[in-house]
Amino acid sequence: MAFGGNFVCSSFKQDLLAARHNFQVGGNTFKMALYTNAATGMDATRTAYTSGSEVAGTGYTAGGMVIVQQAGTPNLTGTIAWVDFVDATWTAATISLARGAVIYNDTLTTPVADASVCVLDFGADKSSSSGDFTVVFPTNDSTNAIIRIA
Amino acid sequence: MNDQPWTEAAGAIVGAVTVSTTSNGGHPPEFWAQRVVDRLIYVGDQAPQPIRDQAHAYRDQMFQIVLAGIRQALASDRAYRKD
Repeated sequence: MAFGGNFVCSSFKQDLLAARHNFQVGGNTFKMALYTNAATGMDATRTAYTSGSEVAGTGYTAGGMVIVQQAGTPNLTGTIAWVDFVDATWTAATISLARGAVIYNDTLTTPVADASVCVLDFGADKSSSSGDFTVVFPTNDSTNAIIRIA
Repeated sequence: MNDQPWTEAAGAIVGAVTVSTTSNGGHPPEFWAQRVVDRLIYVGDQAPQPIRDQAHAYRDQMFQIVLAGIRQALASDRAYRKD
C-alpha cells in the first residue's frame, strides 16, 4: 500500500511500555528517511526502517537524516505529553518524488533494529533540485506537536 | 456511591508536517526568519481578537528583528569565508 495518511506505528506503543525509547535531548538518536509512493507497508503496521522504495539522489544518504530533539522535549501540558524535533533540511539536494517519511530510532538494536516511531504522509510528491528539501515540524505544543501521548 | 471505575481515553497521536523545497539554491533568509518566529511565538485561533491582533503585531516585529539578524550573520560569515 502506498502512503495513506499519518500513522503512529503500533509497535511503537508497545516499545514505549517496554521503555525502549528515550526522546530527551541527548537521549536516543532518531532519524527520518524519505520514501516514494511506491513504498509498501507505510501505515501503523510498520515496525522498522526499510530501504525499500527509499528515495535516492544527490545530497541524500540511505537511512535518511538524524533529527534532533527540540530543547525541552519531552513536554507536558495537562494530560498531554509531546515530543518535538528541529526541522530537517537536506541541503544542495536533488530529491525526486518523495511522498512521505518514516521516523525511527537509530539507537535501538533489539528486539528490532531501527524501530519505527511514525509514518508521515506529505500528501503529494515533493522534489528538490540542487536545493533545500526541508521537512517542517508542526507547532511545538500539546495540540499540534509531531508526537503526542494523550 | 459510584462503583464505576474512572477511566480516561489515552492514545498516541502524530502531527502533520509540511515540506518546503527549492531548486538551484537554498531557502531565502525570509523563510528561516519565519521558521524561527513560528517556533518562538504561536498565536492560537481561539484567543480573543484584541489579544490575537496584539500577538500578530508582536510576531511581525519579531520577524523583522530575526530577519535582520540572519542577514547580518550571513554578511559577517561571507566576509570572512575563505572558500
